[in-house]
Amino acid sequence: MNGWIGTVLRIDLTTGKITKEPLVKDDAVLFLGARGLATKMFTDEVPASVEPLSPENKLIFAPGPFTGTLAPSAGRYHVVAKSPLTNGIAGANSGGVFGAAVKYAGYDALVLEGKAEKPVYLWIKDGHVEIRDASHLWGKWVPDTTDLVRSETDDDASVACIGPAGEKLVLFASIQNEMHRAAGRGGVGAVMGSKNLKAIAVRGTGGVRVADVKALEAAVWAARAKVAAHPVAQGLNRHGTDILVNILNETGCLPTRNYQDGHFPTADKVGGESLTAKVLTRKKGCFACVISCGRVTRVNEPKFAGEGEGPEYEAAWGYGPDCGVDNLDAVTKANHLCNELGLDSISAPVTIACAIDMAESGVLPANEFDGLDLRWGSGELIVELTRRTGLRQGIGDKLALGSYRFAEMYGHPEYSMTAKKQEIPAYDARGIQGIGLEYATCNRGGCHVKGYTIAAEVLAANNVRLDPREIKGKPGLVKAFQDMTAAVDASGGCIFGTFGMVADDYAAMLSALTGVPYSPADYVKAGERIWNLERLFNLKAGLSAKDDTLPERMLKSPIKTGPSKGLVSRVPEMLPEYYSVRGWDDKGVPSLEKLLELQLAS
Amino acid sequence: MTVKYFGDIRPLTGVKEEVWPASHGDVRSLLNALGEKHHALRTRLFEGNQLSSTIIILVNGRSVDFLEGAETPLEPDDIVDVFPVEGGG
Repeated sequence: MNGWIGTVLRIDLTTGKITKEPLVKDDAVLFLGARGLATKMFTDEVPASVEPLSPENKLIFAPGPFTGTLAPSAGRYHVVAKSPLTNGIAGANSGGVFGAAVKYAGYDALVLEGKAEKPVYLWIKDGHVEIRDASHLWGKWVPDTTDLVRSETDDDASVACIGPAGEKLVLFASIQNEMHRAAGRGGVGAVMGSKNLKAIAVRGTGGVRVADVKALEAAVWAARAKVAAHPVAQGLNRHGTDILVNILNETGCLPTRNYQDGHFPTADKVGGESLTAKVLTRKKGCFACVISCGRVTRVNEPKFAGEGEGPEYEAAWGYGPDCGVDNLDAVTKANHLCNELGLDSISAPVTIACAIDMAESGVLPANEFDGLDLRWGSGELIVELTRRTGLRQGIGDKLALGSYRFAEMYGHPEYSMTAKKQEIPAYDARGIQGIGLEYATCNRGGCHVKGYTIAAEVLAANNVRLDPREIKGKPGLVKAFQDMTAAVDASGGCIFGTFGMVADDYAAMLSALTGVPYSPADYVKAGERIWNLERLFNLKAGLSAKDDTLPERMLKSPIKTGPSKGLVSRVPEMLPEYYSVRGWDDKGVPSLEKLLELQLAS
Repeated sequence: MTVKYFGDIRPLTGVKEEVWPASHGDVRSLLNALGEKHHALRTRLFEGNQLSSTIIILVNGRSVDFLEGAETPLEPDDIVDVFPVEGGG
């Protein structure tokens, strides 16, 4: 096969059985790979009613057809499972090298089933696959785990692992590869921990076959030039994602103190310009990336000293303004800890912000404070709470359930800024209508990245400049971003490649690579197909239209200060049109006509 | 009036923000005056007669794209932000 390898590796951790199966080409063609292929396999094999932390859940790692090739900024992989946080589909995307390693080792997907009796790790070297004892690794943090596993397998192995958070089933535990890259959201790390699987080490010496080398080269060089000329892609190289803090704040759409407000006067202290000046060591990129948005960072201040990568915008916002903190050293340290413990760096700070809000508001009893001074604006507190959460110590044991279950425990779920119980990220839905609709409708819960309308509503990317306050046209916009992103995810691309590349570029590269002719419309349609498949699973799992909503605070409590003062989210007004443009009925159920069109029914 | 600079615009002026003494009629005349003061900024502000596609100008937090563009009138206590088109995440 070209682009795809043609082999799926299946490992039953209960029995130790290892099998290699042929990739179903029809599935690959329709669902592309990564997010698409993994979701197709998952939804075919696993009942929607499965308990997420039971052995019956599956964990599927899949790179895309582009992964491991010269396709620019397209070296990624996806992890799919049922989410213990949302009880819907989890799909977490990561960069680094791991995806390419899996392709070079000879696989389009790794399907992990069952549960090992004792902690294990997997060692995959090309066709050779071993399940090894990991008792000596259990309890170790991500950096030590990575180093030890490499020393026992291969110095050049790529390692994806969980830290203590995944082992202890923190509901938003991540899977970390190359230590600092994360398949972060939805608790995929907890699913891995529930299987007693500590790490996967991969080393591959194969390659990826290309159907038409000349055509791929031409398409790749044309695409690279577009990315090189794109101001947002270049801005990401210069400053990383944290450059976003100031534009969100200046427009009054920087959620502050658990969404109590939308403006934080000292935000600049944790923005990308400050990060570059104060803690940046160097830039870093993922496999085959021409942007290199990664930031290697070091804090020298003894209280928060450490080295690692990030913070990205979401983490800088979450630990910064969302917790009322403007200390960049503390924010950087808290983010380093998320990578080291294996925690989603959005759900962790937003859960912490929720707890602080509840404490400050008096709805969290003082005897639950775990001896801590729970208040806004404390750098020491955000670091300590992150540590306790990752280790499930003290109050951290309850924070580990995520903000929704935490707040619900005390009778106040309205303090949780979540959609479908997943923490909502860093753009105020009250001031930016389209992203609010994305939060409310995203199949994996509160998420920005799977439908990043911010590009058009705030960033003027591709010189598209839409009024963030307007609702007209936003349902169609959100659908377009969601579908395109699903296709990019499924082909192994990083969404930052869309600052430069469009469907035409991706389709040209995919056709040349695989030998399967994809038009730009085919490419986007694959994304729409994947979106609908995820939706069907969620409906079967018990999610419904009532879950396509936002917290009361975003719908009813206007932003208090700043340029967007007085605004609220108008998601309920946009939802009917969103269902309609999607071809769904008024309860958000895909029509048979739509499913037939997408080849999801026959 | 306060004028603030962000991202890769900052090195072109050497400052994060400055107080602008006189009230200027509109965004166009303000940007012309800023370009006079900060020569390195000049080529970033306009493409011919239009505002450059590589910048975003906010007046009191609102993009001039949704006000009156370069003809957006300015008041003495306005805050004007000059952002590069840069960044996503």
